[in-house]
Amino acid sequence: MSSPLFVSLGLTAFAVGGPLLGQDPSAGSGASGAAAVSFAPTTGAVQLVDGQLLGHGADYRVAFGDDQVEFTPALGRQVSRTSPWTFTLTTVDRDGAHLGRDRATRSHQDNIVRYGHGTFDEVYEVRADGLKQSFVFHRVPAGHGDLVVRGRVTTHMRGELVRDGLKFDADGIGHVQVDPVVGFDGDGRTVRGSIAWSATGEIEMRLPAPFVDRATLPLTLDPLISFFAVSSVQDEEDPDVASNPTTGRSLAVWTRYYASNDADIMGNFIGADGSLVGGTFFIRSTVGGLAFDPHVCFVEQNTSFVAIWNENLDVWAKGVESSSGALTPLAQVTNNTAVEFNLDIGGDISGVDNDAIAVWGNATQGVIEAVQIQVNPGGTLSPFIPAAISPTGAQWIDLDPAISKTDGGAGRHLIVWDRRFRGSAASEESDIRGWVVDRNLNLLEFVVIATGTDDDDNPDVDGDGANWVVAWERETDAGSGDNDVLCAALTYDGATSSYVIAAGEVVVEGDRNDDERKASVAWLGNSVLIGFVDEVSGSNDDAFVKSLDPFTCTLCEGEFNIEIGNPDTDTVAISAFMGGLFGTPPKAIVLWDPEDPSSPDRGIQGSVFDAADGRSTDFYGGPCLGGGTAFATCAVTGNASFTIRVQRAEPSTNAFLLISPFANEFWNRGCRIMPDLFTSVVVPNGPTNSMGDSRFLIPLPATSSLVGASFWTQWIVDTAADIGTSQALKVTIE
Amino acid sequence: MQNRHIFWSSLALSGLVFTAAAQDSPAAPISVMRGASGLAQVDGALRGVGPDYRAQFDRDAVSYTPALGSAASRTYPFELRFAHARRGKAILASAVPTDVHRVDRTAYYDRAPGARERWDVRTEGLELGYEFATPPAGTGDLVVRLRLQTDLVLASRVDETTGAFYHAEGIGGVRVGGVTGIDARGRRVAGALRAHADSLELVLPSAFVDTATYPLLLDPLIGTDWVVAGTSFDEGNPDVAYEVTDDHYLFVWQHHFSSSDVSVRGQLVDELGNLVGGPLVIRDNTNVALEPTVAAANGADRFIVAWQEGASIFGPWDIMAASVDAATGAVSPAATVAATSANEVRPDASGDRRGGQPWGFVTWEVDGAGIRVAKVDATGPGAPILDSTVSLSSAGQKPAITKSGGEAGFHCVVWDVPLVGIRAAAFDRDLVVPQTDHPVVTLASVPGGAAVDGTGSEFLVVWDQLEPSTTIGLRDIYCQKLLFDGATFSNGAGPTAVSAEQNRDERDPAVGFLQFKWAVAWGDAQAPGDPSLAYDIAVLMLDLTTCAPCGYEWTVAGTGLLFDGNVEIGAARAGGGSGGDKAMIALMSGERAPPFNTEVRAQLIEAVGAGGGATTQGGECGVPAASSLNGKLALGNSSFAFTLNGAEPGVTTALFALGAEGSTFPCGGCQALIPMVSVPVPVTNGSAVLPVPLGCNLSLVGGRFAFQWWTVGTSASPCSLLPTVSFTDLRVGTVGL
Repeated sequence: MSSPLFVSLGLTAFAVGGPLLGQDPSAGSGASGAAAVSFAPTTGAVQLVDGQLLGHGADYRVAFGDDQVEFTPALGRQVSRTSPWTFTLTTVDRDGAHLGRDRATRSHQDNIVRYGHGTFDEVYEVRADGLKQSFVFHRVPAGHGDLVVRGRVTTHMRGELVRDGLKFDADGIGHVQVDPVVGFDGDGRTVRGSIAWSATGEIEMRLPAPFVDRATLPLTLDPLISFFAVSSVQDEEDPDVASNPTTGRSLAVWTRYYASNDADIMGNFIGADGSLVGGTFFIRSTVGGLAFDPHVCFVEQNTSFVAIWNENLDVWAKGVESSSGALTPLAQVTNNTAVEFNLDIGGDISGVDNDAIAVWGNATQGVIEAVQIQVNPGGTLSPFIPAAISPTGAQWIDLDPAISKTDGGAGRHLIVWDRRFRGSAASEESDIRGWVVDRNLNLLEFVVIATGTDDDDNPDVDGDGANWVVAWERETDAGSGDNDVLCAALTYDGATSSYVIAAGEVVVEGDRNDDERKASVAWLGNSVLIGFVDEVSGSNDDAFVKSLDPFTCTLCEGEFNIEIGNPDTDTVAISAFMGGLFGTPPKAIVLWDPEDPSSPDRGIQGSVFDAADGRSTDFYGGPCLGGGTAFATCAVTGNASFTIRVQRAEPSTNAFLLISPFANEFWNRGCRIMPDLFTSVVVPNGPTNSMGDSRFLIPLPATSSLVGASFWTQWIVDTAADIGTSQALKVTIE
Repeated sequence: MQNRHIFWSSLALSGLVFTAAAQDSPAAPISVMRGASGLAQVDGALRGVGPDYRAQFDRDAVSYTPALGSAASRTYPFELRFAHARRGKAILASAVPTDVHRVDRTAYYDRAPGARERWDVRTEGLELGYEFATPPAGTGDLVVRLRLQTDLVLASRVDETTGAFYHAEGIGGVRVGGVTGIDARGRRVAGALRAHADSLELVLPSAFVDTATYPLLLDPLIGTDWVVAGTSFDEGNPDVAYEVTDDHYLFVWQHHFSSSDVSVRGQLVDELGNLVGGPLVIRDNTNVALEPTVAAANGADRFIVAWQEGASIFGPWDIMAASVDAATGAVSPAATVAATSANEVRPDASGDRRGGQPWGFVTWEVDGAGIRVAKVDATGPGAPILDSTVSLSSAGQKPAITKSGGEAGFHCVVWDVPLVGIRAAAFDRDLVVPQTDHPVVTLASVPGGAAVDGTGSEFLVVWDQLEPSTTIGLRDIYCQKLLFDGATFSNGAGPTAVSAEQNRDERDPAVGFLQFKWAVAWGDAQAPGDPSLAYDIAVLMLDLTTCAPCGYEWTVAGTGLLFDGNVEIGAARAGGGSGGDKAMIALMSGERAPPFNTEVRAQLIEAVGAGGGATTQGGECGVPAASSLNGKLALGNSSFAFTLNGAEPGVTTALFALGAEGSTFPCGGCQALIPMVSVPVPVTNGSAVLPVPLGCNLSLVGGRFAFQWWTVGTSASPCSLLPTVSFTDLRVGTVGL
């Protein structure tokens, strides 16, 4: 007699690619959405996480103890309790004759976990679509009669025998399915066994005696595969993503909810082409505890991603090495009684330093706190002591901070947050404030971005270390719940430690009686990508990204659909990178978390955004002899606001702009001039301002034949000592 | 006697208006008036005038007043008084001139025996020079000091090698150019300008002064360089070609009105460099027209002009063409040569030099898709008619084409394929392409592209390439000879370095076929090491076969405007006819600082200069006859010959005697040359010709020799030793350039 057991759970694939980013026909801009590809994992994974051996498939977690296996379906955070299903082997016998079994010895390789019991093995294969359990006998069990395997199942889920096996109901949301038993021997002969269940929690799997008597070795009790299907369960949320700007490899992180009080932090690498690299892995699992709100950044110096999350209302962190995916030991960033929430993190990509900067809101004190997290050689993390960067105010509380994803290579971040004024509950007045900080978290300049009596919330920010774009949501009428998404651009002068709002409070999306919110920002160099969700109905938000000029917040490439239709999307996360090769167009990874009540959960979705914002390639470094840094943003046909800029050149000095279709390198006292001086148009543009900035507006005709045309441009300033040059740009119109 | 002669020149003073508004004024006329400067006695004073200044030459001072326009609140004279010239403690010249006089447009101040100061009144300003006929006494640097009186303010940036600015009110002022020393051999050295608020010192290094040498080397330049277009300082990117029927050159260039308005202008010039008529508007619409190129369609007596044109400085670019009447300058309507959806750029033009052939040819680069060439009919005043187009290559960039197809009728196009090298193709007037993609040279990078010219069967390709191990983009100039038999190419001499001075930037070359030699010109950094946009145009003649130097390198620009480049050569030979060793050089000359005000300048050159000539020593006796030279006694003159005329009738033979100077023997009152070489030459009707093609052996230059014709069988002779031999005058010749 035999009784194989198989437990299989369904999973939800992390799909990078997802739907093609749609194009707003009104934008009239070049196509930017990458071809979408959906990737479903073909295997599960087994992983040692913080000393525990864990496995996971698409929609479950399995924890392998010394002698028991705990299977937990991911039911989403709408379920108030987690639903583990634990199996412990009790006996193996033939007609009452117990097989001797040794104490289990556990081992694992790849996605297989094996418990050795001497004469037989208890084997678990962690698969994408479920957990496959097998009992493999190395000699024919002595005795007569059926071969019977018994185990104890511990779960609050109610089990019942059904026609095809055993089914455990998970609060009506789904079920764990144990399919009928099958036995097969070394010659491939098979036989169907049976399964039994008692209300006391014992499960019995049986193979018939004649088959066992004649079986050749090895004899295996093997389950058939079945699925635990969870319909419309939103078990994966809160995506964030960061990118290695050199290689284009990105790390996506998100929360997988098993219940509202049981969540893990998951991760998956994504290649520069948008394909998944390797499988999904645990970044953090407390196996029954709650880890959520993950954020991630990249630190160049030790080529490591740094992920932070909220665990028991403290901040925790881990490093993830960019190439190998090796996880560093767990690091606790805060350990106090205060309530930390709304985390964010930005990394140093200059290679000069090895720090990430994490920020969060301290809800207990109503302030914004921040900390450097040092990524050490070898991968360990050393958090510094957190400190408040906003003062406690009697008139306000500070909350919902965000930090630029990178320092832009310039060693500076912008941290922004929502300052909500007390006593103004009726109007819910709140503003956007911020600090420019350096890589060592020295506070450089306090920034005021949105003021007035409006309700401005939930900012996000990204930039290049000298220029940033901030996007946030503003409630159009107090208490209406009708938010718009706004944008501001600011530029910072390190020499004078001052900033200028280059564009302030520009409405990105502001349909009347239509709630737009959850803005996210990614700096792509020649454009900035703003993600947001847009209300369709009360429970259905669609998701979009808009490509804007990073200095004016005016439309660059246009608006692109990310998700429209039935799914309800809560979050859009974006991370920019430069494609991994010098001169290749910038790209961004866009992630979102659709929930569709009418169809199976699709998990976290993603796509690559290929910027067609006027490819602008830097040649020959940065400023030379006070020539400043040049920008030629949003070089797209029909851009009547196309502007070529220089920043941080020598102040109050005559600036000239060179434009030529050709390059012909000349040197002048160590500075290279790339546009061909023989054909160049030389534009006298007057003196730079007190920050050393100048700009020249030169509309690009709306001529499709200009697409692909290139030109060279460079700024020259006539300083007292000599002529200084910006870096040269080769701009390709898109 | 060792005679030394230092011609120290190129201290240029020029008025300059800095304001962009003045430069950008679309209404500003294009002044191409070579004669827009002059020097004359007016009201008892010697006065000079140019388009942007006036000057007065008094005995003790020279006053230069820039025309700063109505924006200036008053005038700002710039007055210079000679203080002294010295070497060490030796005072060479005093402040009081012994004489002041005018020759044409030059004022001379005789400062000392053999030392004089000269002021050339030029369009762009005054050019100050000092001439020393003999080696200056003393030791050390040669220093000339001038006292300065002006209210103009010396700009804080002074460069001893390239010049200084004195300015006022932020609207303009006076530029003082750099100092250059040139000896009679054409050797040049950069001096130093020490500019102060109240004085100028011009310094020439002692090493050069000590080693400057004479032989008699006549520069093959004829005329000085001059401004084709320059008043508005927005002219650049020139090209030039010659048409034989009307004996005119046509210069074309791009004129910048604004960032969105760039037009093509032109100017006819005669064989001596005189402007013919006014400036020509070849293309002026709302588009941007760049990279003009010109060639002669001899059979149509017209020039074909092509350019790239786009709606904005960003393109998209098409290739356009027009023709220009070589006699009148009448410009035809423009025609489209290539206007696909791709960007067509970098046109270069060629013409058919043969009579009766009205064809022009234009090659260009299709961005990312290779090289094309089109044939256009330039007949008549209408727009050129596109005949046909062929593809020469699906890859490559920066094409260049010969100015003509030569008598053989084969045009050569070269182009650069990055990481591969320079390739070549030839085609005939029907655009039949016997061979394409011929490998000229394998190179990873040809930053300035290649240039080519030739005869239809022989071509010279020149290019620039990076100096080995350079970290600052320094380039050298190389050449490669190509032979074409009507079907296939083969490589001749080369690759050969034309100019490859270590640590000096030499770039953007041009080449012309000048009948006896190849002329190669390029941008030549004034200083070694890290350049500072200070470039002159250097020219070197090359042997037609070996590509070895056939003369000395000299500089045609360096006028003080300092940033000279973008040189092109329009050889007379390409424009038709059977002769012509002349060519016009066109170049862009600009300031070294933004906004890089530029003008188009020109220089007439010839392959064979005045030569060294011959002097008569006397000694003729017997029946008289005349000894003469056929052609210039100049290096590389392959058609040179010694001739005898007027020999006694009946004489059938003459001996040409060649010997050393002073090596004679007396015979009955005759001075007969002791011949080292004697060549019998048949005499016909009293004349004899002995062709002596002069090669390119540089050691010949400056060489002196004596020669004499002996006519054999004359009816009388006072020389009893040779009673039937008469002698022409003994002559002494010198090989020159």
